[in-house]
Amino acid sequence: LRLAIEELPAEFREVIVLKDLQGLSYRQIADIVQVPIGTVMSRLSRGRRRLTERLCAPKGAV
Amino acid sequence: MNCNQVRELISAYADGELDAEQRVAAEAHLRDCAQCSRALESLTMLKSAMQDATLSYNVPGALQKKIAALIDKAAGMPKVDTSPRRGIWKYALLAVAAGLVLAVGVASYRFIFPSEQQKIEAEAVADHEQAEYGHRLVDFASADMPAVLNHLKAKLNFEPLAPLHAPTGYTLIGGRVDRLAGHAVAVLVYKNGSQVSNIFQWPSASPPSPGTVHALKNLGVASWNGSGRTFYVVSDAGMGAANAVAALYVAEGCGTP
Repeated sequence: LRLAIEELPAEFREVIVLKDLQGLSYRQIADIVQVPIGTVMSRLSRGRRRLTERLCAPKGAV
Repeated sequence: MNCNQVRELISAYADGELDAEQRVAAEAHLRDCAQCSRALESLTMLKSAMQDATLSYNVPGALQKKIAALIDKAAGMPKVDTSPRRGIWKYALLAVAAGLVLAVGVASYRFIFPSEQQKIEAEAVADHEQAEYGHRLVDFASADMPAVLNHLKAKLNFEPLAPLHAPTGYTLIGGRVDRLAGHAVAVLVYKNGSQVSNIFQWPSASPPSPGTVHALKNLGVASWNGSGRTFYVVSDAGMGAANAVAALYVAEGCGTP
């Protein structure tokens, strides 16, 4: 899982780390990353989709 | 709502970040759609797996406080419990308006009077980019940390500090001597795939201080003072990575405030 997170493009990894590891709200993440809340929402959604896909069909060892 | 709409919102639904109307509509769909329910289930599993303690980066307490203070400042509002959603809209709007005014004010103030730290950050970022695109990342290439530290020490009038092992996922590429903020500085360079992290350090009389971390031009920048040195991290991999590198250094006693 750690490897999968590290392999994510930076824009997705950033919001996922802030949300799921640091426990920040969408508003707080939007303020830090300086993007609209809608962008936080879509990056989280796309990033997590990539993570679940990556974890369900691993290429190499995870 | 159809499946596509729900899949777009399901992540925010799992985070409790949907407004009441969207939440009710999503729940109605989830009750009837086994596929979307399964998607929600795997999302919930992913979220709980992320709570695994071994995954979390050990951000120093002081750094965490600093981040919290930055957030409060950026949002320009006291902490509001947003769980009961009704009745807070007026305050939320006011807070957003206040935040905007503050952000514009702070942005223009900073633009006109950049702080010493901002000047150094801009210089560190420019240096990071120059080294990367000018293909002069290191003047001593080695993955052996003691050898790199010895090389740098011989060229500088101070002893650079660094953890013996690289941050998770990173490999030490080597080191270089550079100039930053009028000082000769030691730079340790790590790579994770094609993503580069530069760690700058130089002796400093500044009192130990907790770190700051933020994004600048798509790069993660972290800085702190400790062990008689000032440290700056610039990372291609964004804020999370800069934060993780800073946390490792501090945890290993390299610049512990």
